[in-house]
Amino acid sequence: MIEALLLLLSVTAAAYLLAPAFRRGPIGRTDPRTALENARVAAVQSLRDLELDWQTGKLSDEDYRAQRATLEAELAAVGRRLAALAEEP
Amino acid sequence: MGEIGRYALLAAAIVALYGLVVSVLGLRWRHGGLLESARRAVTVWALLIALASAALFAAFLGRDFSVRFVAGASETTQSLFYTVAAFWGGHDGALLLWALILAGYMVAGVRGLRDYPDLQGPAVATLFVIAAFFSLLLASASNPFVPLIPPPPDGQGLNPLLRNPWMAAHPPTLYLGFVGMSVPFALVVAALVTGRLDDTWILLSRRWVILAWLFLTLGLLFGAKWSYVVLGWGGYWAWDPVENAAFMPWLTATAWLHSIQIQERRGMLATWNVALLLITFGLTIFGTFLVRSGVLSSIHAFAQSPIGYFFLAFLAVLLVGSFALLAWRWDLLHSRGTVESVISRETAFLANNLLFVSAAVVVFLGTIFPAITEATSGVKINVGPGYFNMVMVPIAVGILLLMGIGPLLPWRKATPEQLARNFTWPAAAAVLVAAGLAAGGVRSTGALLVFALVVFVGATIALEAARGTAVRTRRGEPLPVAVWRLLARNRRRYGGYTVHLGILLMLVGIAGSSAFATQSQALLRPGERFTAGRYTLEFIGLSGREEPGIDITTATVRVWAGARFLGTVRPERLFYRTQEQPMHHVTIRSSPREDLYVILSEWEPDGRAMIRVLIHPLVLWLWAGGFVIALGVVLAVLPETWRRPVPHPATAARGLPLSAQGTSGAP
Repeated sequence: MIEALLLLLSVTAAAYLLAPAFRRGPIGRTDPRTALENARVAAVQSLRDLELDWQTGKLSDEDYRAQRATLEAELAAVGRRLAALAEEP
Repeated sequence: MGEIGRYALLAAAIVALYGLVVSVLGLRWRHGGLLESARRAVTVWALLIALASAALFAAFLGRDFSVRFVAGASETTQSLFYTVAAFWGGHDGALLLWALILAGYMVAGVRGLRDYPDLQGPAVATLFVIAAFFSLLLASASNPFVPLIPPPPDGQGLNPLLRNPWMAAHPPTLYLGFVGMSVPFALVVAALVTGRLDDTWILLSRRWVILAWLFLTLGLLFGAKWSYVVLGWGGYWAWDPVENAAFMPWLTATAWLHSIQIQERRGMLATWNVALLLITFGLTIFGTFLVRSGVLSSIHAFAQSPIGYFFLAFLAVLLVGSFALLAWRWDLLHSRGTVESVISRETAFLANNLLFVSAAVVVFLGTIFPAITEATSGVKINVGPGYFNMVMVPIAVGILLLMGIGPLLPWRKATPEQLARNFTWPAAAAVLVAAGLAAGGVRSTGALLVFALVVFVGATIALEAARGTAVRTRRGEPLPVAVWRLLARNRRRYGGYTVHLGILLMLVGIAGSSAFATQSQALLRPGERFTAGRYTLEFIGLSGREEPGIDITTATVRVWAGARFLGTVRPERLFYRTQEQPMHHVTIRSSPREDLYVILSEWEPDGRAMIRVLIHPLVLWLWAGGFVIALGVVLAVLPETWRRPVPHPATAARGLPLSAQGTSGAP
């Protein structure tokens, strides 16, 4: 009885495993928007951290402005690339 | 059950090899169908490992002594709790537990990569390398379902040293940490294979490493607690090879969790971060080799077998393969930023990394030194705690100092005015506390230094939180709301600070119990008293009783602190008849101030008993620190934003204020 059940289990598992193996199809690619969206969230998070560092007195006004400008430029670049992707058909 | 278990493990080995082959072929031929088949193999493999585990549990619960492993780790008189825990109380079951945890991580890890199909394929292949190794071991040299013919009427029982709740929890927790490094390892290998070495793999790996780090921390603490309450020596850490085996990946994972921040914020250390994660996973396999090979003597190496050397070969293949990939992709791992000033957060984090990695090297060398001396001179020479303490204490002091300095430094550079503003009060508080303790009679230089640094770091965290709260209260938020929003909107930062607070509590416990522990003992007749520190103990007498399989001798002792009666304690000596093994059952009265640790050492036929008393100040804070660390990790892994808004591209493109970016700009 146990042997029969194990045989049935093996056949079912083999069918489940092999079924897609004979269907030739392209391998998936990560949507470029996913990486860009991650980069956008990371840049926003960096800006928030910078804001908190400045407000709690860890940064001079001059350094804050310089770093903020850099991060905003990065964010804008990411935004432009996202916008370009959104306009693609 | 044995038959089902053997079938499941054999089938799991076949499926793991199948998954490995089809995932590699699918990647090589760019065949989506084969990759889908490999993904399905993950589920099938996990189900087969779950089936094998269920069969082993059923064999234990059914006292099926026809299974050799069950007969070796359980007996009819064993309680249900320890019968369940016996699953991982021996070598073969521990490996099956490892595979079971890997199965859970694989299913979750592969599912978590569904939005990253180009990383998912190589990650699945890498995970199947690990799964195939464990499956082959379990199906052959380390099969927990090997039959025992004829089955004995009773088993040998679980090693009495393992019959403790902390030891029941220790291996699963530690394995959750060890095996938890598999998914980030697979991710970094996938990033190397595909050449996708932007920050995506770090983003995806970070939570896995934090989770594994938490389990490693808890596993280390559970093991320390077991040592403290079971072994009867009053200590919790002895630089034992098996303790070191879990400590080394903890050290490198801690370094990684700090150094990725430099990569995320400054685009530096990309190569270092890849290497550090490869080494961390390698150390988890090396740790298993230490535990399982018996190459180094240890009180924890309960199950020694020659399969440890399979682990060494597996480790060699993994490290050579993954570092070859790293060398291949070296040119893609260039730094985008540079260190602009010595006084900056990135410099502090770099120094922190050097210290953590140095600590790992020190522990590694000290751990393998006996094996090296045995191989070269034929004599095994242990370096002992003296070596570790001498080298590790200065490193720990340096790390502690940087723990206070790093978070209060800005990225890129700091001015002298900022340094003065940020560090004057914490430094003053540290000096004041050290002076106060010295005036109060504390003479241990090490303890004074540690307590002063703990106050310094604690003050920097408090100052940071106070300033962050003040920013919000100035906008009109009530204090409780301001505190809540500060924590809720900066979870990663304040989760990290909470983890640091937990580490500080642990250091208070370690420093207090190391520097100020006292011990005394006395051979007492019933009715006699003796004094230990501020305690008076009166020995009432001995009594004996039997429990299934165990002879128990109990000393009844009444305890006073000064004139105040605290209660009666009953330390015991247990003798396990089947294993012919004695055990201590110490009694511990814990308070935030100190632990009173009472041991029945031995007794005479005339009724006299040797009572040993240890007083360990502040040790409770060590365990409390672990709880605080867990809270901090939970806070740190919660997402910063519960839902990820998709910005209007034009808004992001113009670089408008954060509040207009879909994620609140308020810190």
